[in-house]
Formats: sequence, C-alpha cells, structure tokens
Amino acid sequence: MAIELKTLSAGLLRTLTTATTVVFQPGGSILYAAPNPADFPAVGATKAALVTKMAFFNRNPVGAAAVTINVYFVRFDASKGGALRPKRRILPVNLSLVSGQVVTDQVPLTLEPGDAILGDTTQINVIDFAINGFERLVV
Amino acid sequence: MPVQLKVLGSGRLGDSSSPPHQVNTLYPLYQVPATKGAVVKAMRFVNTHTSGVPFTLVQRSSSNPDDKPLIPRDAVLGSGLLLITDEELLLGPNDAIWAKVGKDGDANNASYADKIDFVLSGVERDIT
Repeated sequence: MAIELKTLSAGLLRTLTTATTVVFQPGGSILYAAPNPADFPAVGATKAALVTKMAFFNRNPVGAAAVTINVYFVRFDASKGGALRPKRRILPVNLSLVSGQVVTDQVPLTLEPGDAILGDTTQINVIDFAINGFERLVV
Repeated sequence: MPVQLKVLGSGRLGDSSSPPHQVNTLYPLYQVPATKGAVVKAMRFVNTHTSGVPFTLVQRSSSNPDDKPLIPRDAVLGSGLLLITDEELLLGPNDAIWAKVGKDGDANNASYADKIDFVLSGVERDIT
C-alpha cells in the first residue's frame, strides 16, 4: 500500500481566535484534513495521515507585539457539520510567539480520513505554518 | 494484514456527556480490540481549566490486573499547559489505557470534569 511522503499543508493562519463565524474548510480554519471524499476534498482517494512535524513562524517585524495561536485536532463525524465537531487542543492554550519566533512540534499525530487540524490566531496573515508527514491509502 | 494509522482516542477527561464519567474514578480511554495489537505513538493532554488539574494515567494489562502508572499518580497539569508522552507503548489484545481526573479528598474535584483535552495517536495491527 503506497505511502506518500509530503508537505501535508503550508500557508498562513487566517482565522481570528475571536471569530464568531468559522470557515470550516481548508484555507479557512482548517490547516490540514486527511483526505476523505465524504468531506474534503469531494473527490479522490480516502487516506489516513501521520503528521511528523508542525511548525509555526511569526513573520512580524522585530518590535511588533507578540501573537498568540491555538491549534486543535478535530475528529471526523459524518453526523455533524464541521463547525459542530468538538475541537481538542493539541498545543498549549494561547501559545505566544514573539516576532521572528518559530515553534515546532515533532510529536507524531495520526489522522484518520476526514480528521483535521485547525488553527486560529490573534493576528491573521502573519503566522506561517507548515505541516509535514505522510499519507496512506485506506482500503 | 497491514498496519492501520489510527486515532486511538480523543476527547476530554472526565467527560460529563455520553457516556458520563465520574471525577476521581478510573475509566478506559482506549482498549485494544481482542484481535489486534497496538502501538501508542504519542499521547497529548492540554489543560483548558483556569487552574491546575490533577490526573492519573495507567496501563491495564489483560494478563496482569495491576495498574502500571504511565505518569506520576495525581500529577497536576498547570493551566493552559500541554503534556506529551511520546515513548512508544506496545499493547496486546484487550490491554487498555485508563485515566481519571481529580484525586481523593480534593475539594475542587467537581470542577475538574471536561477540562483536559486528550488525543491518543498510534497504530493497530491484526494478530493472526
């Protein structure tokens, strides 16, 4: 059964911690979701994933105020809309990153098809993230 | 049979919703199915409470009824903090990981329910 080593996802945190409306989809509050045609993306293979590393970098210029981030794990549940699925924290609450700081997490995290990693922040478009690992077909 | 990447468990310790779990009472977070073996790769616990929460985590083997502690008994996880145990844990059929929040005689026990998020990551494999 094929294993694909890859950058599972990379981009910027785009959801405010205080947001009242959360866009539950990749590119919104979802940083990465293990592929599941019943959820995201709508077509393609069903895969599980092993996250081997997550990195978060505050790209603000020196002297800017620290930015806090929150990162969650969300279990896939076909009976609930994405925003209704319980979020479980996987990093410390309100983790603070000063300008230029990078935080990495190299603890293995498994995801079954449709499971997702969510993130939010107190300042959007300044926290770069990269999630690395591998995906594997589920049959 | 191939190894399956699995979320062995996720939720909140002392979850008061269905099925309800009482504070200061051990209950299973994960039990290996009778026909499988498992490797727990990592366990994450985050305290979302405004104060420290004591909790206990043990391994219960199907062949030995004595609990084996996985962290110090009644360890207190500070507010907002993350605890990771990432030493691989090999489990046989019906072996289980049990946990509880709270401790004997603690007047704040009632406030500890639903405060520690957890995610257990690992793999399962059929035993032939």
